[in-house]
Amino acid sequence: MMWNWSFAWHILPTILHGMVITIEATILGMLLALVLGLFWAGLLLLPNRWIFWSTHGITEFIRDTPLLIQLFFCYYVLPEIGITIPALLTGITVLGINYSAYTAEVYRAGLQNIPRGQWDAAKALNFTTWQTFTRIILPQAIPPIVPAMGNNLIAMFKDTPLLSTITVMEMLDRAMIIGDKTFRYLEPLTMVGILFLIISLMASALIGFTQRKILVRR
Amino acid sequence: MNHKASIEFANIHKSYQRTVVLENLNLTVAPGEHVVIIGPSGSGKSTILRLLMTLEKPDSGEILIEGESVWHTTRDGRNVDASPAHIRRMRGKVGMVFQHFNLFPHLRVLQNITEAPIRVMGMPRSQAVRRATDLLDRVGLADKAEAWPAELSGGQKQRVAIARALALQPRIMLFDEITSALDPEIAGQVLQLVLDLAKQTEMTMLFVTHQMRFARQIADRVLFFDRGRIIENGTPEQVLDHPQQPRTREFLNNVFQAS
Ligand SMILES: Nc1ncnc2c1ncn2[C@@H]1O[C@H](COP(=O)(O)OP(=O)(O)OP(=O)(O)O)[C@@H](O)[C@H]1O
Ligand SMILES: [Mg+2]
Repeated sequence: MMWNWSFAWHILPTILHGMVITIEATILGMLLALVLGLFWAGLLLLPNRWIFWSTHGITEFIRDTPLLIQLFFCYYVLPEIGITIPALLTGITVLGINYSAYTAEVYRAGLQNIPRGQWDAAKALNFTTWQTFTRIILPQAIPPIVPAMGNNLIAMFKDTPLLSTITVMEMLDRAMIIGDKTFRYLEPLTMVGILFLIISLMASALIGFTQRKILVRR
Repeated sequence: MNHKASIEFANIHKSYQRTVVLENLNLTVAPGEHVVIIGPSGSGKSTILRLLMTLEKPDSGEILIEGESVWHTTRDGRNVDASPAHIRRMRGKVGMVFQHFNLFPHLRVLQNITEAPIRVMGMPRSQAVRRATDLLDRVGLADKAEAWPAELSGGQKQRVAIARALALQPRIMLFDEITSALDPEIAGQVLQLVLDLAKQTEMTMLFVTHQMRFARQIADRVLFFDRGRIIENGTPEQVLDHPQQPRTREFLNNVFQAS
């Protein structure tokens, strides 16, 4: 089987359309993971054993069950109990919740690296706990964890093909449909692979650049 | 109860897990008084200051600031836990300078000082900046307003920390071994600054220090602390020159030998 340029050119718009959905799912999923992960990490800081252990249990459960099963459960089981969510929204939400368990760990490591003296000084200056967290602790905790968050972003991006299993028309899904219709899999699958590679490399470069910028400012 | 006292500890108990740090501590400090606390490592000196700053909560007993309980209020004639708002109001009367400065590394020197007046007191930014600039001038760092804390020497950092605490105009200032992390020469300069400040204000001040010369110069009263108890309490001459307790004599001998 030979590479057919005109066929590749012909299917490019369809695959690019799928790429938009892939990127959309990644960005929205990551936003959810960043917010929810911070929420978990915040709960883990509270001096309440009950909150600590339930939060710990939730994130542990999320991490110890496969993403694919979480997707299937939310897309195929929830409708049986009357909760029907569109495929893309399900995919984004499950990705976000799944990755929030990992971002929570990253936040936690970042927060633990802030010396107790910073909390003491903020309290002595009579900042509220919320002000201390948002204005004193987080701005110090976040720059060092940018690379780890970036790795999560790229990992999530590479997990998005899983969404094709719940009928989300992302890149892989479209490539497979083209293949099934034309019996040519070489071009669509190669193109999808190359697009994943290009975007991952660009994201890595962007993260590296952000990190250097942060380091220079310090 | 003596409502003239600036600070009053009544039957304070404090332990961490299994370590009993303070047992039945009673202590009264008059308004404007400068009290120096000395004593061996681990005797509970920092704990006293941290309790006053509300960084720690006592297990039992009362801490009063200007006659008002920090942790309790009376409602319907009963002693109940104070609201967070009450505790914050009491906390606002106290300021603290730490051994390791604890400047906020992500804020420039000026912002380190203005942040609390703006966010906590709701002071207009322009006024906060004016006050911070004045304070920086007073601690001799007028030219460092736009520097990052990482660009300062230890002595300069501690000056900024002092200015930062002063910006909230507390009634009581606490100094916990503020020169222990500094070279002797730099330490001397910072202590001279504190001496000058102490002369210019009517704040009540508590110091934990190992610098006996400084203690002599600044103290109205010296407390010698051992294992969570005050075992000597008097003027600098009484405690430093004519200690009554063998434990105090032993401690002072060690300190003077070390310095
Ligand atoms: N957060 C904590 N958890 C457990 N134990 C603590 C804690 N803080 C202090 N301690 C213990 O309480 C005791 C008194 O500590 P504190 O810091 O008040 O002593 P100190 O007199 O200031 O000593 P130093 O001169 O070394 O600063 C020590 O035995 C210390 O180990
Ligand atoms: Mg101490």
